[in-house]
Amino acid sequence: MSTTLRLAAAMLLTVSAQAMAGGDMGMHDEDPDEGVVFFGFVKDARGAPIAGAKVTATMKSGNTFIVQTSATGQYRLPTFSKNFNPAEVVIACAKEGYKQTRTIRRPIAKANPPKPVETECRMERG
Amino acid sequence: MQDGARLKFSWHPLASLFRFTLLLLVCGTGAAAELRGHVSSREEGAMEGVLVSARPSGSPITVTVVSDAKGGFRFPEGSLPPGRHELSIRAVGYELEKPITVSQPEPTPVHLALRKAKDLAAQLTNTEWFISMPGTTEQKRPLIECMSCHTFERVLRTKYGAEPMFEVLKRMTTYANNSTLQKVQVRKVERKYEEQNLRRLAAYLATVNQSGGAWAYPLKTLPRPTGRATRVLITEYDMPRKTIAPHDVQIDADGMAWYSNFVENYLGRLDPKTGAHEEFAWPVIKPGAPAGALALSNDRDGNYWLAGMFQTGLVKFDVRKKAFEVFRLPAEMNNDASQQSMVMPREWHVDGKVWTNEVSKQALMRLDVKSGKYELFEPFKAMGGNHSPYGLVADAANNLFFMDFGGEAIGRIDAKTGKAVIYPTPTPRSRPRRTMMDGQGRVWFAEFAANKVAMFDPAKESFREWDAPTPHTYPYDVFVDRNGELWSGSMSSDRILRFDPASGKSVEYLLPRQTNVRRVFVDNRTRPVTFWVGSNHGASIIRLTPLDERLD
Repeated sequence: MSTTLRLAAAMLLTVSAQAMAGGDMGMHDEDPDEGVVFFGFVKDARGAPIAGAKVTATMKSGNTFIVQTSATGQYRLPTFSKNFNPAEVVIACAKEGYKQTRTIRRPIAKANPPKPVETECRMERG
Repeated sequence: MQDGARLKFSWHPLASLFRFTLLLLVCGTGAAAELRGHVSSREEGAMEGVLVSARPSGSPITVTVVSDAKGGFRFPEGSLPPGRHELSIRAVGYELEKPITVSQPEPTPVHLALRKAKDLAAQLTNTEWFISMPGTTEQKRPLIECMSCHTFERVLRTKYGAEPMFEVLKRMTTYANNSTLQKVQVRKVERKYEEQNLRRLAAYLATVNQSGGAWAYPLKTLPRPTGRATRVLITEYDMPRKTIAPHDVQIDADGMAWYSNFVENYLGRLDPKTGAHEEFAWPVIKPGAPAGALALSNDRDGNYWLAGMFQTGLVKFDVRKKAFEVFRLPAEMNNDASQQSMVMPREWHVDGKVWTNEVSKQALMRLDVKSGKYELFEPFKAMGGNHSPYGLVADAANNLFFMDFGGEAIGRIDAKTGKAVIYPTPTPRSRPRRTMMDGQGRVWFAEFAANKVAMFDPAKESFREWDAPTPHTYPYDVFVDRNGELWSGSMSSDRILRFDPASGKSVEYLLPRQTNVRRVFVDNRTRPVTFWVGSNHGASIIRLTPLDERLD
């Protein structure tokens, strides 16, 4: 992926995080925009984005989240609380005609509010 | 999509009216019998899209038609009984010059002269307040909570500054969400809130209310109905008490309208043919807690289940025995904030289990009907954040689909393994609300905060979303009819949305009065289909009969 495209995706993420701010007469425990956000890209062997791939995030409990990648190969999960340990989520990807080769998680920096957790999923044909 | 299971009967509610009409014709009263006329104003001349309502003196039933492009209106033959009728209108910005009473049959056309309304603000819907008030989307967003109980008019007419407004908002957190202006109910424990968020909202409201004098912004209005939106007949049945808050309405195989009362422990039944009304009282489960039920749903046997809200637990009504059975929460699962807003008994014959939710725990529960025991499911446990499982629907194997009204996802719980799969919607912060399943097992739902209706296809694990044509519609629910057309209602604009996802065509029918629309229902057995909804704040049940079979 080119730097420009990544920058555009990062901006997209910023916009959606802003769209989630505020909320509901303040009647919840915490602001949704202060928690852990999981996002990332699904790419082929050459680094090109794969649209419409199924991304599965499995939690320790065995419950899962399933999202599809956008036209730019991006996915995003609903916001977790800021106390959530990102290591407890395993990301996998799938698409017909492809098999997953590996996942790459960007190093998780401790921060308050937490930084988004980016996990890239690589697939190749076959 | 077909909803074949509901098409067993060819019964038609208008059939008796047709016979009655035929009788009139035979008797020679003839074509002049129906009430008809013309609407105009000095400002516009002939007026299209004016709702004209006729109500026989002393009757609880009001019938409404809409004027056409030439300002003409005509009540269908047989839609009004003979006698004196009081006429009223709805056309934002206008009012009748003088009260009008007519006789039915009325041999000569009636002319309705409208003048500019003296108090436009009193006529605005919440959607019109939303588009009139200055401010950002973020500033206005929290107000969607307020309209569960009242319109913004009462907020915006106040003269409170930020500090007294903050005190008012704090007081609001002590009220149950099943409150109406006619019956305010206090929670056993107040809602959690963030002080800074409430202060931010109070400060914003102090800039748009009358604390600084008259409103400094123009009051904007939505356009009146035109074209196809005028081709409709609306019948309102007033409830015998103003406190009755019909929340979910369903029509049974005999054409009876059953409804849940949001603020009182009654299950209600209305006979639309005669207007006869009957109530069945269910027992107090938790004394001192707010009364009333939210969701109403039939099971396969035609019995009705209610979600007991703050009364807690589930209530089953045996239609033949006319007897209630209460399924209480066990003490260890119950707390002062416990709340069952939803119930899904449609497929309980499959495995003996009925799904419900526990709002205070962001959780779902499943009742084993035989033992009366509840299991707890916490798909969002350990995850944190804002979540609230709300609208429920079950597939043929009694696997559950639930809407995360607090968040932005729908979920599925496998009936056998108990494991949850959560599918975030393409639009963030969509707050999915109520749902129904079509004959192909597809899940249709309203994205309340995203102003969209949506479909999830479990076979493809994929979504489709459609924008409501009017901003700030806040659809609560959606129902797909036998033609594949969608019906939805706005909690804020007093409009019913009919939408064909295949062609993208839509129409919005305006309702005659301020109507806080919740659960919607379509009777597929009539031609055209018939739409039903409760007026949660207006103590009435509404039947909307489109004159067009399809939107094409």
